[in-house]
Formats: sequence, C-alpha cells, structure tokens
Amino acid sequence: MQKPSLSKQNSKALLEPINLDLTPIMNMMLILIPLLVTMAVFTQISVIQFSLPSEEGESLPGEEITPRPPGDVDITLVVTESGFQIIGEGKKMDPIPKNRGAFDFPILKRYLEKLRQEYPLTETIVLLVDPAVGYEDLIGTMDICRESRYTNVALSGGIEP
Amino acid sequence: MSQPRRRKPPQSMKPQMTSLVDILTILLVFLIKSFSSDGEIMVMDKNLDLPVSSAAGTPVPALIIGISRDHILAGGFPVARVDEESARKGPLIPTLMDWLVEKKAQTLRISEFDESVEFEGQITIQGDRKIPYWILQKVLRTCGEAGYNNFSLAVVKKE
Repeated sequence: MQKPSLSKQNSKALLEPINLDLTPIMNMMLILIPLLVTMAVFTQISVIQFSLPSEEGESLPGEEITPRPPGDVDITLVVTESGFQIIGEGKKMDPIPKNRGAFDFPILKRYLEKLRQEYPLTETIVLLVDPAVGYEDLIGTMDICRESRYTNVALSGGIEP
Repeated sequence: MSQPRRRKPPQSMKPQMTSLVDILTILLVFLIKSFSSDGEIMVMDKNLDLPVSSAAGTPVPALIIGISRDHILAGGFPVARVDEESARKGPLIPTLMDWLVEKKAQTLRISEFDESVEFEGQITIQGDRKIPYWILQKVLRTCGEAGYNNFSLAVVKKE
C-alpha cells in the first residue's frame, strides 16, 4: 500500500506515532490551575436591599397624600417565636403556628398568595419581628414575601422589649 | 513476513499524557469561566456563616458591618461584643456609632475636594445565620442614627 514516490525511510517516519513533548504544557497547567483554584469564587453572594426613611424625607407639610387605589392595603406580618400572624386593614388572619419547632413557610406562602388575589395592587408588606427571632428565619420570611411578589418588604421598628 | 518478528528492546516508559491534558484543559476552561474579573466587593469573614436566600441583588460598594455570634465587626475589626450589648439597655451601640460617624465625616471631607465621591449612606450587613433579630435591630438603628439609610443584607445565593 505504499506510495511509490516515498522513500522507505520517509514512510517509516509517517507510520510511527508522533510523540509530542507535553511536559511544558503540563508545567503550565500545574501552575495555572492552583492559581485559578485559589482565586475561584464558589459561593455566590447576593444582597437584599432595603432602606429606612431618611429624616428629611418624612411627611413634608405641603405634600398632599395621594389616595391609594382600593386594591392597595397595609399588610403587616407579625413574626414571633410562636409563629406568624398576618394583620391587615384592622383584620387578623388565623395565626400560623410553628410546625415542629420551625416556621411554617409553605402555609405562610399559601396565605400570602390568597392575599395577593384579594388585594392585587398591594406591593408593600411590613414585617413586625420579635427581637428573639433568628436572622435566618427573618431572611427566609423575606424570601417568601418576595416570592409572593411583594416587592417592597419593610422592617418595622419592632416590638420593644 | 518469513522471519519471526524480534521483540523490541524495552524502551523508556512513556505514559499516555493526552487524556491527562484533556482533563486539565477542561479544568482550566471551567476555572477561567468562574473567574470574576471585576474583583471582590465583599471580603468574607471566615467566622460568619451567612444565611441562604433566593435574593438576586448584586453587591454594591459599601461600608461593611459584620455581626458574628460573639462580636460586631466594623470594617473587619471588632468594635463591640454581642453579650455586652445584650446587657446594655438603650437602642444604640455607642462604639459602632463612633466608628460610623467618623467614617461619614471622612467621606464628607473627601467629597469636598473630589466631586466623584459622594456620601450615599450605603451599609452592607453580613450577619451570621444564628444571630437573633434584636442585635440586627440595634445595628440598623445605630446606622440610621448615624445617617446611613441604605442597607444590604449579605446572603449566599440559593442554587
């Protein structure tokens, strides 16, 4: 099967596997990879942003209070050591007790969805949090509120101890 | 092929490098992809165990206040102890207040000379997931009193 034009020596060189010298590449990899591993960010950090009203921003005397549409109501979510309770427009919804020592987020979500259908224009929810409630549970509650499309989650001054 | 082939004399060992290079190339590409070129806005404290959240906000440059289980850290240094603060009555943390007021004065002084610097009142709070709400409340109140009104709570993004 040899081509007649090739000399014998040449054809032998073609048939042999080419042995690439990969050592320099390996050297480079061994330096680059530890460098990048030390610099890599494996946990993505994000933030939840909120603002407190600044002092000068509070109710200017000449400012008119615009009447709110009927679907926009005040909703307060009370978070205590015993569980959740939603209060809005002078009404109280049934309290949501803790389920086996942990806050019952699925039930809260169902309640908020129900409220969402009743008052579709409401975007603000005020959290009234007991001082003893853990930070993790607070973040979880804020997540649930945000997932129920309450874009403005505010922290109230809280229950004074 | 009339003659029986003679065995080659043993050569030096040549390990098959190709597959290894393949693996390393994939690793390299993956690592370069995960490498963020815009640098770290936040430096994480190793003692802090941030809560997990579905929030998607991007971190902004801000003063960083850390709340660990034992200490309140301002700019990476402890300024107050949590157990001492729990014993103290009153809504503010004096040592943190001093630090914030000083930082605000610094920023305002710089902004007199440099128009690109402006006091925005941004605070990033890195809180451990086990801290109670009252300590967060105290920190928020202190920041508010010092004139810092825009807060970011640092969380670990849920997958």
